[in-house]
Amino acid sequence: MIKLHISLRVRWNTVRLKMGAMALAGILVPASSAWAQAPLPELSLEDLMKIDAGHVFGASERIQSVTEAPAAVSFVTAEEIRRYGYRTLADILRSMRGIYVTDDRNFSLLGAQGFAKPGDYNSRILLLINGHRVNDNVFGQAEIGAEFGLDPAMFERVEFIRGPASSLYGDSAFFGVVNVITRSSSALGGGSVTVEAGSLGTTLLRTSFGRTFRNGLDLVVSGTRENSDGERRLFFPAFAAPNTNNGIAEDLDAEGTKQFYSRLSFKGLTLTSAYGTRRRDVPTASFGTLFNEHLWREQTTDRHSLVDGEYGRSIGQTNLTFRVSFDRFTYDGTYPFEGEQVGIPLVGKNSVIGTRWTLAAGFTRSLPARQTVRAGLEFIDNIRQDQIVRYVDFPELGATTARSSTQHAIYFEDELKLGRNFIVNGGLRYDGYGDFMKVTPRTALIFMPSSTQSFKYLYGRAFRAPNSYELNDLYFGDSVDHLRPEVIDTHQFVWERYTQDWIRTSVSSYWYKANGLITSVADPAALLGTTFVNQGEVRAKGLEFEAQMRLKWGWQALTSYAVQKATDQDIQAELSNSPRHIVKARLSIPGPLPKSFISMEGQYLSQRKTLSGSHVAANTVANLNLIQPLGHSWELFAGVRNVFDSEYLDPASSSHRQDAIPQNGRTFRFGLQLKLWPK
Amino acid sequence: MRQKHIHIALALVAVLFVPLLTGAQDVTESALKAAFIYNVAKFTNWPEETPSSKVFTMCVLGDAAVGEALERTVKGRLLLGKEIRVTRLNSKGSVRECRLLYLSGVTKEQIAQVVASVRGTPVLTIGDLAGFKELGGIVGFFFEDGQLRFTIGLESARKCGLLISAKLMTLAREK
Repeated sequence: MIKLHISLRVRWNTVRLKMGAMALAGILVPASSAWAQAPLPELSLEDLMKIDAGHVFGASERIQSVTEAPAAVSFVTAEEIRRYGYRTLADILRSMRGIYVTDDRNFSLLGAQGFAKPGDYNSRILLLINGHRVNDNVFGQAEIGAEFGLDPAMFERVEFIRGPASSLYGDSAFFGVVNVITRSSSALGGGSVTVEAGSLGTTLLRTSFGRTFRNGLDLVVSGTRENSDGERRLFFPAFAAPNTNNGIAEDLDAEGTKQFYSRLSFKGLTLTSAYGTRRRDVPTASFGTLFNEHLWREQTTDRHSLVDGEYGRSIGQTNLTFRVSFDRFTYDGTYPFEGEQVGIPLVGKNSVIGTRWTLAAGFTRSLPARQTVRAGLEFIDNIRQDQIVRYVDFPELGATTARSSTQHAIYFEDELKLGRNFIVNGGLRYDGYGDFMKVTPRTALIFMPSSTQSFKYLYGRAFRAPNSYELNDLYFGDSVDHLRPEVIDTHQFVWERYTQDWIRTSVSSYWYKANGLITSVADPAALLGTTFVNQGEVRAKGLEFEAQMRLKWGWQALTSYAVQKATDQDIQAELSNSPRHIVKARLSIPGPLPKSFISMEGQYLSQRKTLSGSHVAANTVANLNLIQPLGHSWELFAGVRNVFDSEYLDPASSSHRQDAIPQNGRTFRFGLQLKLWPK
Repeated sequence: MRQKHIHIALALVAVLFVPLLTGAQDVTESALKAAFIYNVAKFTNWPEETPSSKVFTMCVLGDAAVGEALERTVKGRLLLGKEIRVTRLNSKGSVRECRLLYLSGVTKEQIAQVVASVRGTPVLTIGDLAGFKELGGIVGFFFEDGQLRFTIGLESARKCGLLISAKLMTLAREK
């Protein structure tokens, strides 16, 4: 009887699902042309000039069509950043298909293709600014939250290139590459002053200036300062005891950032300089520090400086590029531990200084027979990779690990167009380090039955070298001297299609095997009680769908669904912090007044396993943003994040006593921008 | 909960595959260029033709994808009250019938040669090679921050007897 009941139920559900899907398709098919925006030729030139041609730079270090690029690519434009009110690189990336961000109320960890191991320092994603690596040279970390150091208002475009790209970029291009393209003055137009205020005591002041001089010199300068008090009271059940303030961290969630950016370009030369600092109070009492400690609060400060000079020149069919860059990253952490006397904490100070020079040269050349080759050389001098530990009041307990290293690389990529429908692409890169070398290939077969459709098969291998932190034998014992790079092999199938002037769809699937992952394990002999070993294999497969639509009345929509399964092969279990389903949708509509836009988005993550083996619940977060120009010179905006005030948590790392970290509820933000010398 | 996931997934999949049931056109780079070509032509004035022909011929040399896209773009549309015909040229083809000529994906030398061959005749030349204007071309396409922009060689247009509307001039950019 019960059996019968179940089978009936299942059948009814199947029928209902089928009916639902058919109904949806039925509604959409006849409606499709009615909802589509006017055909391209009927748009005005002004509107045509706003359409994005779907180019990507980071997939091959040259500008090419997304359909022809040897990768599955997503990008977000400056206009989208403005409309959706994105405030960090993490916000921007979170809007892309299959990507999720885990926030431990200090750093943001990027998850892609189902992989975001709690406690990792984002070292399996390569972060570029205008094609230049900005992962630091101590933790190898791609800092994507406010600690990134560059204001998203200065982004022209953010590209995410899925899959391995070590054949072009070397280290860290493991699950993908994020390329941030910054603004030039022609895009910025004049100058502006912006003030913003919002919930959690948030204030922001930004000034920017951009001008193209008569001799062709293009200059942009901007500065931003933002402060937030954060949540006044945060409750962590893991600390719910009378001697730890019943689990309530009070006034320990503040964050302050200062960002400076300038870009100067003249003829083929572009000089970008940036400085960003972020100071954050850490409310979670991570690393076994004292909970709700105010005398010496747990606090981290990250600073990034960048000076990047790039020179490009064309000689006939050859484009040459030269690059000289200097990066400096510093990190200071204050960690209050329990002291011998009650009320007087033992304060640990952890500092990191990483500086490096990068020298790079490359060329792209079109050859007869519709062939394009790209080759390049790179030399990196890691001048300092220093890690310092000291204790306030106990100078004799401190230790400094000073390190420096060099690395060099050579790479080559060849694209061959066969007939009108095929592209074959192959690349290879050699990376030499002091203790090891690595050769990584990539290949792509692209079939384009018409100019509106492409099918791609992509294979690539990538590596992540052990970073200076993991190689610190003072912390982790001599065994870490034998750490080797971890390797991933990824296969991807991509199908991209443009239909009816108004919709772009993309379906991609992937399968990967990551080997010799650098994993933290207990080691009583090591100073920190843990060490790193090349251990563990992860296999995953996934499927991603995306549809981007430009509808009537200027509506723009993007919807995506990603399903993935990542397995830790050693224990044959689901990976922690790996959601099975990710669903996203966003819509931007003009109105209610002329030139204003209302933009909304929703993001759903299914449940994720935590380190303790339990799960954080599925969550849905909705955001809403309104922009309203007032006359020629003013623009007003208002935004609500987490509109429905949903309570949700992100899995915590092993440095937390908590198993999961609560995220912000509903917050508001208002801003006013004055445009100076508008065009 | 699980059922809900499946619902969401199915709904999305349905949305994604709807376009496959309808015909194919696109907003690829070629379609965008084709739409620009048609729009630029709308804002250009040609001198009266003698003898006048019934069709307006647009020629494409080099880029087959743009040729295809342009055929779709102009289908059923008129220019100067005339039906539009798209002719795809090979490198040896005659440009005699062309009133508009799009050149792309061919060498600089070929472009210079073709542009020189139509100098002084009312042919609107459009191209996407850097320095197209300096080669004597009239409308030069280029991309800026992922969006299509164009330069206008006013002097070359004047020599060809073409009048470029003020509106087009205000939208033109210098590269």
